[in-house]
Amino acid sequence: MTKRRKGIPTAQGNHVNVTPLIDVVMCLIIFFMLVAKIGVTTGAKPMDLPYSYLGKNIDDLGNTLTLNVLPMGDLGPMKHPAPGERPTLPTQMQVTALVDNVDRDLPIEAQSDGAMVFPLRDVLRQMKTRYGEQFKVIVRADSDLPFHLVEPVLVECANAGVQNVAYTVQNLTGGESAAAH
Amino acid sequence: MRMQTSRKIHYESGPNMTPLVDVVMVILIFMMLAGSFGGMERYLISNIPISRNGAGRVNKNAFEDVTLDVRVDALADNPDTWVAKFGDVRTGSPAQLTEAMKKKLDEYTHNGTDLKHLLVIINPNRLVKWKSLIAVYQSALEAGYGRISFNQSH
Repeated sequence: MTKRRKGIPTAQGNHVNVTPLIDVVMCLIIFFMLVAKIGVTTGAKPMDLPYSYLGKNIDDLGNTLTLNVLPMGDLGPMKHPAPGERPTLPTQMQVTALVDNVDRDLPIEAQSDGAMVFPLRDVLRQMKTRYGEQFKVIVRADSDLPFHLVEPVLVECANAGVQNVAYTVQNLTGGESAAAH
Repeated sequence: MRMQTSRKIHYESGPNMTPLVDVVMVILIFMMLAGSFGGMERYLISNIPISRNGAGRVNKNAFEDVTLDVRVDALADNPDTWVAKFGDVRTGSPAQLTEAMKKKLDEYTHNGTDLKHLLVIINPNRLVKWKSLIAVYQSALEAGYGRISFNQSH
């Protein structure tokens, strides 16, 4: 009498043994379900964020507005200067945000029908009225921006009465062990 | 006369897994395409976006707060480098800045000053890059300060 071996079942006839495939795929699905954020759109634009090994996670992004502060113009000499050339600084910036599922440019000030308007301040005030003290602003600023281009955004936050501000950084460790303050 | 043909051997060794694999593969591909992975991004959280003299609705109790100024300048020939001045210490090294700030914090806490009344104000030059300021901000956090704000540029 032959003893049946235990372990991975052998393929029967022409059938391919799909058990290891299902094992791996199930593991991948569970991984993606735990890690991925599906359906959460913050309007974040790709940019070079400053690095830091500190920082926190924000679990609840419901009451937040993400402001992208991006340099304008030719980014080549800023990001990758030619050998021997001094890196230049951006002189203009653009603020964008996803407001009510619409991607909008939010300049600090603009002309409308001959009058000066303040789109960023207006949106911040509207959101502050809607969400109250729970309202948070996330500032995603390019790492190469000089402070005088980020400063107006912070000033507008103060003008709109927003006190909860978070600065997005790229985590150096990439792990969950990042220290929180 | 009926010819006797060889019968095809058909094994039914378990449930048909094909539909399951189909569905699981569709779910997997959907998640890979639809999911966004923000695991590499963190947030430095502040309750005081900017401190200003005069205007600005910053909730700052000027009578109780002890403000500690950190002046940050960019070097003219290389905007990537920065120099911070904190008290008597002038350095371009985040580690040295953290050390100096820790020392000052120890002095204050030794004298009985509550940590929540200590406010670090970063005074940047207008040309200092954002990444340099985040480095200074990180030094202040690492030193143990909880309230950090930016000032308007000089």
